[in-house]
Amino acid sequence: MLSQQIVNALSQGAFYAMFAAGLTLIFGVLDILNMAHGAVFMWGAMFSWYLMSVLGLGFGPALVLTVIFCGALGLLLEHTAFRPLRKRGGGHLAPLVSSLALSIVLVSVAEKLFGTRVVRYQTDTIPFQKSLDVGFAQISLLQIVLMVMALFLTVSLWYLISKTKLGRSIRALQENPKVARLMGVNVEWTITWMFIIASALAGVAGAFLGVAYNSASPYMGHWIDLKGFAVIILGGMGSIPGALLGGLLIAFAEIGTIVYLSSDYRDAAAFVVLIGMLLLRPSGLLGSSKEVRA
Amino acid sequence: MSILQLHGVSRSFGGVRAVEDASFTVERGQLFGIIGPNGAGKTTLLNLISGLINPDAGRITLNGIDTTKRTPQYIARHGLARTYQTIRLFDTMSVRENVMVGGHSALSYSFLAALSRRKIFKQHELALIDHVDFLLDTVGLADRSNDPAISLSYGEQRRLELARALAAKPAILMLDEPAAGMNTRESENLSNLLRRLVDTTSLTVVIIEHNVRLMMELCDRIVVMNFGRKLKEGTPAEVRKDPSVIQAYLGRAA
Amino acid sequence: MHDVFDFFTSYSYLFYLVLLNVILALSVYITLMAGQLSLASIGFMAIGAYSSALLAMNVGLPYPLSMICAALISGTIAVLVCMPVLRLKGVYLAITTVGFGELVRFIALNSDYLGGAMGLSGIPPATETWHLAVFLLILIYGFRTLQRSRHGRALVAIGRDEVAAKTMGIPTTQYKVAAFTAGAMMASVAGSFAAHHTAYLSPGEFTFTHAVLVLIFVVFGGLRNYWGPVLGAIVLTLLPEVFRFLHEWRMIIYGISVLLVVVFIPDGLLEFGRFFRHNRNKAGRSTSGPTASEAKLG
Repeated sequence: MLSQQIVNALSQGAFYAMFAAGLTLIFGVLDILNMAHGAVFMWGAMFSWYLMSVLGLGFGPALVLTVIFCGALGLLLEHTAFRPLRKRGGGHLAPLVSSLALSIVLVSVAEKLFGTRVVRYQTDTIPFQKSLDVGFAQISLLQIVLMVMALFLTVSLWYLISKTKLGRSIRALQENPKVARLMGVNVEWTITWMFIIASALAGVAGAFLGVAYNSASPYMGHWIDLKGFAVIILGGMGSIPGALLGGLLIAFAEIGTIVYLSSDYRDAAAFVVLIGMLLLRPSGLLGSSKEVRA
Repeated sequence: MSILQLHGVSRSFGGVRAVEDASFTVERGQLFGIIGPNGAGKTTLLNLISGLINPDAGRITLNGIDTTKRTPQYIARHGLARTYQTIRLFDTMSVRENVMVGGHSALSYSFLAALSRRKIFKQHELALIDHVDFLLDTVGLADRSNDPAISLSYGEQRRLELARALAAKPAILMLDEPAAGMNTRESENLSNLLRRLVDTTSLTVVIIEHNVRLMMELCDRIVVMNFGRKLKEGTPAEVRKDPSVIQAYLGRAA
Repeated sequence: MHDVFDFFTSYSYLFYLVLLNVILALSVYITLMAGQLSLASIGFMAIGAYSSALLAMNVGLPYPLSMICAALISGTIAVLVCMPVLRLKGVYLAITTVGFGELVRFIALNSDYLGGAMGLSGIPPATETWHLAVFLLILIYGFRTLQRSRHGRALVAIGRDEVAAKTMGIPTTQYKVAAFTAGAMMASVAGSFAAHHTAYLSPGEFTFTHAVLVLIFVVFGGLRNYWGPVLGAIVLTLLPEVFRFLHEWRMIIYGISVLLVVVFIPDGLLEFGRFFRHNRNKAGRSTSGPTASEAKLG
């Protein structure tokens, strides 16, 4: 039983990690909290549901299209809510609110297009339903794919940041934006790509969550936004490995709460961890005040 | 009684000795200068005295009170005002408002008194406005009173910082590179102003500066620092002649 | 005359809602003045609502008294929460306050004493809309006084440059605690009003989304002075009503409107009017705060 819960926690943590990785990347470098990240996640779920359940596409193609779609959302997000404000000065409050406003728009459009109810997949369209009995637990193929995917994406992101040109630009930008510009880093292009990547990641997380829980609704974004905050605080703002670690730990905390206390208290677990972390060690487990660590 | 005394003050930052065993005394009514090459520890010293950081060793006495481990607010309320090397104005406020904030601790009415529009509130506010206008006039910014602080030129902003520091009616005023970025005429005006203040009021002024010639002409007493240590303390004439000072700093400048 | 009366009774709820939102916006604004972004107002609103309701229902305290006690409870909690929390800067503080709000909501959701998910009903209805109006007038008088006194200047100074404020002798911690607590008590009163107006409370009224909407009122209206949040709350409460005929497009328009204002008029709607008039600052009598694009959060 316990081992089953561990497996569940690992796969749950995978969602959180993918979602939080993008969030922490943007916060670590640009010092702004992207409040529309949850809405993009939600669109990942809704869009892939639409492709699969209404247009009849398979999971694979749907996932690819979702990645592109959410990446495009990230581009839109950056151009409308963040870029114009960057030109006006470095306040932190305005981008927070503009991303909130865009989040409202994104959720409302989803409500308009898909209605306010929870939508479900037809059972035969859900991929990877096979379950394996590994002795100590039952793992569904989906869970395996999810965990592998999360690991793969996190490692790829790490690789991107530490070894590629874009990654160097990102790190330079985080160190000192003015100097980075002078050294020839194309700041605008770098930031745009950061948003595209982060949003694509959120989209993947959303798509997987939709099939894993066989449900999607326009309101999923709020729920995961709050978890996302807890994860990045726990893991350390700006740390990608921290997002992975934080995601797993929060998932474990939640599963632990369900098992040992009550499933009613599940959502509180993330907040207790969050507040505890903020009071004891605000920089998080793997973060230092400002660093995109790869 | 002297107004400011340092005894063996030391402070390191991660192994680097920013200030080491600094001791000197500032008498009331003096125009006291601290000079030294970059990195000599002058600003650190000022931060130690004003309470922004605490010394690792030593004692600081302000007006007879031990202020070694005190908070900046406490020290400010006990008569010390300071300016900053990088200008720290409240950039969203007007020129006048900035100076009024400076006068905060010179006022004493509570919020409750303000709410009930007590006489003490009105009197203090009016007195403050008068004082502020006087100070702005003294530093030559009277015609810019209602302008946003951010619209001032660099030299004007420095003068604003000075007015703001004076608004607290301090016993001792500490200035961190007040003449930086000023042209000759402006720094002369500044020197004259400081000299006048010190001569006509009970104000003590401590200045950190790079402009050695200015300091030599202006100050009653000078401390020279190098690598965190006090090299020499004395009158400008004494300091000018000291060989170790000449070697370390004055070199070609004097 | 009859028509005017009809107008007010049919729109009475809307008027009440506007007043409520203005009070909430001001409760967020006062902490923003000191440079603290606190989204805890909704949490304190919940505390005020439930406390006043329970005090009235179970202890039998009469209406204004239950509200006052609820405000004192909120104030006490605020002071206790403050101490560890105010060390945190900017976004960290904001997220902590979100966590606080969520915890309060969570407690309300899972406590049978508080009615749980089904909520608390049977609260003695006692609030008239004019009660809120009177309270709001008092608040506005308070803000006006603040802005013309050294205390308001101190708050704004702390918000802009806390270190510089300290070296001017301003007791920064005291002011931050005071601002936070004042905001908490204002939100608490708003919550108590709500409880005794609708006679029903549920945890679903006090979510993160609500907290965020209140913040939007403030930034939308402008941070320069307290009229900004007032204007923002009024406009954004009325907007969905005005666009009611657009059905699902309402919120899309809402979001776009906010986005446009924040992006193109980052100083806030209030300042947009000023753009056409020279900003006369009468003898430094009223202190301006930073605009949203200038606001640093630690």
